[in-house]
Amino acid sequence: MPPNRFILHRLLQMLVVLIGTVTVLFLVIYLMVPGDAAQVALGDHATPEALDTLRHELGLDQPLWKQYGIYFSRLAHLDLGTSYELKRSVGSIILDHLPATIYLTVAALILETVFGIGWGMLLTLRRSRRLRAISLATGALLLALPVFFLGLVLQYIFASRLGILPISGTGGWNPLNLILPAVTLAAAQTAIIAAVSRSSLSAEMEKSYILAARARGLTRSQAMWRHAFRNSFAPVATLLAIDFGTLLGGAMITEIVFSWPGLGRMTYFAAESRDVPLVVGSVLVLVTIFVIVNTGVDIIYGWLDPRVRAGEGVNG
Amino acid sequence: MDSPGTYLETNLAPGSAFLESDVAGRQAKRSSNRLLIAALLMVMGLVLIALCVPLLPLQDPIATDYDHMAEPPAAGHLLGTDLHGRDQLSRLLWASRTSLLVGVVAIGLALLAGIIAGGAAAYGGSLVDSFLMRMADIFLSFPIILGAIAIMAVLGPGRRNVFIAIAFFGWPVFARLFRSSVLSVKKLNYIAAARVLGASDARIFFRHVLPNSLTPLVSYGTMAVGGAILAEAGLSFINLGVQRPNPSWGLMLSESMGMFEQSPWLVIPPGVAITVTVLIFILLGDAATRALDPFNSGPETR
Repeated sequence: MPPNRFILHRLLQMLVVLIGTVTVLFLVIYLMVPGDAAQVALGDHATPEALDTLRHELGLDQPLWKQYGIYFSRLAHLDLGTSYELKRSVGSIILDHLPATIYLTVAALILETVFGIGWGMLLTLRRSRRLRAISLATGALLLALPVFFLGLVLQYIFASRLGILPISGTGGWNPLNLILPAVTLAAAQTAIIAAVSRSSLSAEMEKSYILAARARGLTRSQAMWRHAFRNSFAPVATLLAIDFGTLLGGAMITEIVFSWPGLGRMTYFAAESRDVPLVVGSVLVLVTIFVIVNTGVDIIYGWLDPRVRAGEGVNG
Repeated sequence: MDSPGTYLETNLAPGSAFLESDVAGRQAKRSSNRLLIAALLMVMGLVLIALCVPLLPLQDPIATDYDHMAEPPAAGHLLGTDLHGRDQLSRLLWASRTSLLVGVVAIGLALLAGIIAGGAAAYGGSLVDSFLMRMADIFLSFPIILGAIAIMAVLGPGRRNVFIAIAFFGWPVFARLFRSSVLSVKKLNYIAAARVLGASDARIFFRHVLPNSLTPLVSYGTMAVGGAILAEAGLSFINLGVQRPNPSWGLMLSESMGMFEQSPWLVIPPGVAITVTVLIFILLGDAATRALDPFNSGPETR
């Protein structure tokens, strides 16, 4: 596929996914809410008149397709509705909490990139069976550990016992606050990055141009750094983009454990009080960020690397 | 989203990234079979424990006793008591039933929906196919816990809604796997042979295509059970899953947050229980993939 068509194709695909996402969320709210949204918003003691007024305001007395239209046109104006609990616009609440979450997510993403790729490189260069067995066991353990348990254990060791790190993050810009939550959030994904970068890098190291480089006198590690690494990076980059979304979503539990004042923790409080517009709004924002980042990385890679455009697969 | 492979690794079964990790050398097949048997035995052990819990001489996992709150392990309570004076060991074992049930039922639902959608996509012509696959893309764009939160916020917490939430966002990977595997099986010679012999479409599907297309779903599904158990624990931890006073490992951890220092027996056992259970399912899924992979028998290329 030529580059421009590829980009157009990906953008269209993104649009379809985003519209679909909005539709799914719309259906989740309007078909699954037992009773109706006005009742949920006003509670059980609302008067029938107040319910009718709110229903009219929310457009709940309109047929489904019309409500869907209203919902879409509101979104087009970036209007995510009003929180039941806080009586403020959902958009402004989200904007208040988003930076802390992005800060935490980016920190975790940096950690998993550095350690995951480093781990993968180590496994590629040093092909000892023992190292492989140890890292397989460690990786499986990291994947199986629930974030909240890992968080509690790290808090105990580094905050309560050793007293070298603060027990909870205030979300401020003090990097010391950031270490424990970021490590907790990054742990499981680091193992996945390590596995993917190892397999991609080892496959690249088998190719004949590496043999040629070795024949010219480069050591394995020189050949890896100068040649194989760049060519093996595409699957890792794709995975990192997907991870960004996984981390944004996964940040919720980490934020709760560490009292981190981000979007996830806010959404959790909103879900607890069944503040549907707030929950749906922040899920929508997080999913949108995720889809845009994914498309962005795909486009950048498709632009840089013709193999991706050809749909040849990342190990091509 | 052009790379279903990477989704598989991040959706419900994070462990599938490890599939590529290899047992070196010629003994690959034998040692992978041994691993499979070991993993199967461990899963059977888990199931056995869960099934036998009602028969064991345990205390009531729900009965509170405010004269004996947060007591350390002792003869009467082998793992101590929790903040409401309930026997921790009994709660821990009863919770294993919750975890396994959620894992199996939620993934069973997702599997069933995935087979139906994937089969429809493979057989329904290009319009149905691209519609269903775009649907799968859409559902895959929700990180599972976020999607689950949205559903729980709407439906309210509770175990049944955990099933629904996990299955609701878990089916697309199964659908994709089943679709691609049906498409490749359909092309094989023995299917053509069956058709030449006069077998009906339905017979070909149920006798030949279906059983042979299930293989990739088995190993992914096994790991996904681990993923679902983690998801349930996470949802219960944030009070959106199993509700008090029912026992669930995630809930037990959530109730004892901040108690690590004073009462480690409240924190460590449920945490270890989740980790070990999920680990066992990851191992079984990994072992199943290796054992079912016909290309696994040869020596490694490196």
